[in-house]
Amino acid sequence: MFSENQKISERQMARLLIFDMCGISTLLLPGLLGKMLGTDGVFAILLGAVPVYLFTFLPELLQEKRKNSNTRNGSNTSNISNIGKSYPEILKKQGNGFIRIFVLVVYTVEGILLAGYGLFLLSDLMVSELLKDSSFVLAAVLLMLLCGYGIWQGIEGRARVYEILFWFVFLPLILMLLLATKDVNTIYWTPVMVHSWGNFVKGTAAVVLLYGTMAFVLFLQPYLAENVRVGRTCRKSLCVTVIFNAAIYLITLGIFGSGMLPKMKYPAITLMSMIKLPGGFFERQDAFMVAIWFFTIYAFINTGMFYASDLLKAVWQKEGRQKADGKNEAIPGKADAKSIEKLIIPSVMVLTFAVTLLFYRLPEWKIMFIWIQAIAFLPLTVILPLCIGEISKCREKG
Amino acid sequence: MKNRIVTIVSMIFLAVLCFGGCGNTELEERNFPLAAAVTLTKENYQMAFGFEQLKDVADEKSEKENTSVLLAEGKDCMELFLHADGENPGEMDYNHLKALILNRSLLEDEKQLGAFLGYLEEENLFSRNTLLFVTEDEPDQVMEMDTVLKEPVGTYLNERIASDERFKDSEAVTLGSLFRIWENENENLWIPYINCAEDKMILEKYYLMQGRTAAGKVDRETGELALLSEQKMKSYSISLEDAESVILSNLCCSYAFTEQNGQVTETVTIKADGKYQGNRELLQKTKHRDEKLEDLHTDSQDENALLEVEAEIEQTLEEKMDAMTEKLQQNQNADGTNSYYKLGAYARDIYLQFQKDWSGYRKNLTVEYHWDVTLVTSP
Repeated sequence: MFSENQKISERQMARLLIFDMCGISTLLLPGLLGKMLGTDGVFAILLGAVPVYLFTFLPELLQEKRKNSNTRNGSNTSNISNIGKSYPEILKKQGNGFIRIFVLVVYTVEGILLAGYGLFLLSDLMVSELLKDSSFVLAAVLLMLLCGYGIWQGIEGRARVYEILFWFVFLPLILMLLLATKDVNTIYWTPVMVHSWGNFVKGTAAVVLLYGTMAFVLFLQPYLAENVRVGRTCRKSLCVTVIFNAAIYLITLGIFGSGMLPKMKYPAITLMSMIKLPGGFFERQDAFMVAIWFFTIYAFINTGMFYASDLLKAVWQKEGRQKADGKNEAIPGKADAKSIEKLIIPSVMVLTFAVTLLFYRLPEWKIMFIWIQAIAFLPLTVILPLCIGEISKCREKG
Repeated sequence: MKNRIVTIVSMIFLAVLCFGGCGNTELEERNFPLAAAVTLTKENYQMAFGFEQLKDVADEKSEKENTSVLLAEGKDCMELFLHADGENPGEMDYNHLKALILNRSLLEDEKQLGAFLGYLEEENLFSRNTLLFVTEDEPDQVMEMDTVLKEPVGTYLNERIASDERFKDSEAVTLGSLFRIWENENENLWIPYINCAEDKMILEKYYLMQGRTAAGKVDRETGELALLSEQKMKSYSISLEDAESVILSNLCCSYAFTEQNGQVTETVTIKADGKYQGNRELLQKTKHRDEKLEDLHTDSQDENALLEVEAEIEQTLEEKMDAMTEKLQQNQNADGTNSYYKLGAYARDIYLQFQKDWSGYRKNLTVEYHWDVTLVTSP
């Protein structure tokens, strides 16, 4: 019934991206922006989407460069599939082993950090909202095992699950948001434009950071089926995410007010517990609605872990070749490579869990994580691909 | 290999299901308080819970009373709730709490009330939808009313709010509302006020919280008129002379603000449909007007008579509103129309001007009311 070729369709990619971005941002943005910007938070949500929107042109830009260079060289490769023009391919062909390893390690570390933060958040959500007084560490261990299983199944299996789950998750959310609109007090949305530019920039940066998984889309190309329009799909997913974020922000602000919103841990979850369903037949819908964030943050963790293990695998493969004969040509023993690959997923799981424990035991490290994201990772996600694209282009010209 | 992984994961889930889940406390071993009353003495918080004994409720032959009261005391909130949990053999489950009754002494102590609300919010103990009331009676006295009412206090209050036209037509006041105004600060909250009489519970007054400040007890009419001016009531009934009355519905308020030399004037315009009751002749004229309006014909004599009545109602209402504003300003130093929180939407400049001087704004506020009532046959 399914091809099982580890390739995903355009729709599956869109849903994966929506799951990745929606969960963490809808959970954290109302509280964060409420604290920084209050009534102006919605403008930060809209403005924060602009740089991410521009970023979505990067895969197309890199493909375009590649396509142009191929045409110039006289080879007729403009109609080849995504695989031939992907960023990992460009990375491989730019020639410098150090740059390649550096890029792969940067993204691997970032993947582990993101997954660790996601695991911390999901465990905290479980312990604080669903299984009160339960052990955080136990919740984190079980969730980590579950995520490990997800990674083991490969991207195609996960994409299929998210494709099916999509409407089961988002339809109740839309319904609940519609029901909540009758309690919204629009006066709480005012006055607007009363916050400082400094806070506005901080708020916008927070929005960009929470859409950080979009940076990994460059490495997704080898897993995409042919004719998947990467940029277009990214933009579509981003628009859906922005709409959800803006709606949830306006609803939570309109119900709780700008004074209360910053004091709440997870405003969206509290909102779900307050909505009265017609008929009153379903008393603990908040527990049911937590499932939305369970699945979406689970997807977020999986994304981080998947890219970390995939890129780590790529790092190792290259090293293996160099060690074999020093001339980058011979292939290492098949058994060795396989046994090392088997260790990669458990290693990523352990590292992710270690990051989660770090955030749990030493909460001040979360600030460090945000700084790493803002100062180091986000600029690198744009600068590195552009530079590597240029290097690759120059080499091919040469 | 794949099967092995599936088996391991399934085993983990099975173990989680068997060993954890919802806990192993039997239903009969749990206490489900339906109402809680809290007060503050000089040294301690005191709390009384009223709950049904499930064993006795289930046993039709039981002659014991189904309801029971639990008292707890503590220097701080944590001690109070630990005491409540430890005092009774059963496990306390607050998920079914319907009413929280706060004593005036607690509301008037900003620091202690803040600590109490902070604890409830942090621990997420009571649902935000729990109905909120204020009283001057002691917690045990309130909870023991269930013997007089023949049903638990929580259930009684819940039913009363759901069935009483006055409360049904206004926004329900819940614990969530108190959390909200506590954090948003400059807002009014009109909490129903309970008085325990010998044979019944009287809900005839309101207690006004203005942000974190307890403004005090307010009579029913003043409270309702203030709620009307905030557009928090769906309908309102006013009595006129000669046993006649008008039911106002489809209320729609609009607000305008002007500022001159630091003096702010708020103009509240309220449009409403009014159904006249008690005067057949007038009712007939209204009916004729409604019918003729459809044919675009009007009888000028009838029309004038109706306009006169409408003007009379409007004047009565305006006088009542003015009296309400004056009363609240004098007795409670309160802004009955809850205008400050609307400023951001209606007059941004004035909001920015008084952003850091809320008391100065209130001191220099003048409110003008304009009613526009149209008599109709059916509301």
